[in-house]
Amino acid sequence: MKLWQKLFIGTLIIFIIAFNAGVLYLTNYSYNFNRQKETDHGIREQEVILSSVTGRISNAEQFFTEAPFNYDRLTAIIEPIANFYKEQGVLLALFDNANTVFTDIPVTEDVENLLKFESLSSKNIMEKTIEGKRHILVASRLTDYPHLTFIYARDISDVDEFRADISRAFAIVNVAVLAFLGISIFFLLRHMTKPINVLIDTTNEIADGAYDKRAKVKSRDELRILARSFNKMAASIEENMTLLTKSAEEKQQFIDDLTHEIKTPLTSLIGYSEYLLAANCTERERTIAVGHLYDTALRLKNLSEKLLDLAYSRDENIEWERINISGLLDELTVMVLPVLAPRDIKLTTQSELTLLTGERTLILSMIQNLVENAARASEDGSEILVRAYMEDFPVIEVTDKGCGMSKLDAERIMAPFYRVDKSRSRKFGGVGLGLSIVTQIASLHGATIEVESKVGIGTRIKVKFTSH
Amino acid sequence: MANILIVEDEKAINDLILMNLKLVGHEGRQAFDGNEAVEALEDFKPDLVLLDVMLPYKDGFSLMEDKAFENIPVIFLTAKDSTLDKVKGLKLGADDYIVKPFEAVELLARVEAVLRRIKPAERIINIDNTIVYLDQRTATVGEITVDLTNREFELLEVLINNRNIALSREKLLDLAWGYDYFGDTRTVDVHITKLRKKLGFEERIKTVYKLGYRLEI
Repeated sequence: MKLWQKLFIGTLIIFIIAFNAGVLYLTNYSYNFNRQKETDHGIREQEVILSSVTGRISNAEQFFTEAPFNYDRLTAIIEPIANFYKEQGVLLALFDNANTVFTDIPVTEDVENLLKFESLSSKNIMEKTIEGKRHILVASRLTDYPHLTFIYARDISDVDEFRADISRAFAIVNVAVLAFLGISIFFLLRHMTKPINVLIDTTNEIADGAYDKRAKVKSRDELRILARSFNKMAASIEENMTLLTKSAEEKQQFIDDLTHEIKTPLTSLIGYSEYLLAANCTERERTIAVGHLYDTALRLKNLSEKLLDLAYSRDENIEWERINISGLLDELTVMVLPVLAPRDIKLTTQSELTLLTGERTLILSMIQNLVENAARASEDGSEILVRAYMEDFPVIEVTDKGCGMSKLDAERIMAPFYRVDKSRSRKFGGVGLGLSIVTQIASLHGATIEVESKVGIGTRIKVKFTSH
Repeated sequence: MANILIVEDEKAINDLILMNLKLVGHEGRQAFDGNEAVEALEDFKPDLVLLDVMLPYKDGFSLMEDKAFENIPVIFLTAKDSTLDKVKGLKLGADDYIVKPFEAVELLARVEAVLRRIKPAERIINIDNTIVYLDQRTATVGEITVDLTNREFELLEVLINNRNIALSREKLLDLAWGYDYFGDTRTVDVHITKLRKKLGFEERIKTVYKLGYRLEI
């Protein structure tokens, strides 16, 4: 069951109970009040009539000294009075001890009970239905003639009728109010719970993958606060999802590229092995085949080494230490000698930077990769310059006088396996991961990389340790 | 046999293809990028082009779009093995598609198939004084017609198509009679012996140690 339905039904049930309890109480209160009033009225009227009857009997007693309590006489006294009141809905009766002298009230057992009094002056009061109408009966003995009992009965059915009328009226009001209330509450609740539906719909959409969806809630209450928090959460989820997707795509791209990178040497390995095994070939062809096998194996070795470097440079636990740059550059010169010397490339290093903080092995690997890249772009006998200096932050810069590259290439060279000139790169043993390693190490050290290059003139790559 | 232009930027692969083609008697010309491929056409009229997709300067797809090899059959040769690339290559008018890494036998078979479809010349092989008429499925030694069973001829055809390359018994069984052929590698030995005897190929069909057989021409 929906929240608004629960609220709706709950509110209506509580209203019906409370409203009807109130109405019932009011009805009963007014009924009892009216009945009490009628009763009091009856008692007073009975006294008035009784005193009038007593007066006439007393007169008759003086006038007719013998047998003043003759029943015919008494009847003659009371009958005109009774007739007079009958028209006003009042019935009278007169008893002499237990004998009926005169009565308009049907005598039944309970009426006879009225004749038994506790004391001389006490009154017996009772309600009784006579001819289908409720009456209040008041009985008392005549003070001067205690053997006579006077009974007065007053029609109080108006009180019942009034209660029935007011109950009917309340029933109609009840239905009308209920209808009005029901409709009002229905629309009010629908309006107030609308934001919840909006939130539910949005949640479902997001759960189904539409991470760019947001809940639009206009009401000015907690639901709006909830919607705002929800949207904030959705935004953060979307951001994380985008990052995750991008990272997954990059990884997939890397794996695809790597697969492709490995396929060519594999083709060569399989092909030449097969050739050497199966072909009817000359010694010269055999030598060519073995040469290609050797080169390919070396290339795979390079690739695996660079992949390891890349994996190592992904390890985010950097051991920060103070690096002596001059010492580092001296070491570099020795390390890259096997690559540069055979091609007569001259390496110059300048260090105006005394200290740099970072992981020494990684920084060395980074500069080595940059120098190797520079060498691959350079002609034999060319020059490469490595400088470490201070701007607002430490900078390490590698400059070559090589072939350079276009602006488009300069934007792409950071991507794994991207090579400006594939055959040239392969000729010098490049596998296309050097700059990926450099980028990785730089980002671990909070450094940025800047590439300046002109085709035919050369390339300068700056590593700026901006976070120092 | 046929003149084949090999366009492949990877020198090792280019050499490998050329060396394999030479084994079965084809002539080859090497080009290492898109521009070289176009230049080569000036003084070399190939019967078939083996074309890599990823090439410096001008890739294989662009060369096809520019109709660089009009009226010359082309087989694409690439590491890209996605279906889309295959469809693109074939739509551009290529006759076949070979995915790296490939086996020499597969390359030769596809080259053979395309050449036969494009240039249905009569295939006659003349070795010593034995002549094999591949289309008529007959052979003569001197003037005498040799009686070859169907199965023997099928095996002979595989050996001729892959001449100078040693093939294992399993490979021969598979290539000559298909996967579903019921028989073991002994059957190959029996048929080889028969072929040697009937055609006088005792010295031509060599047993290669630990590998199989090779028809040397």
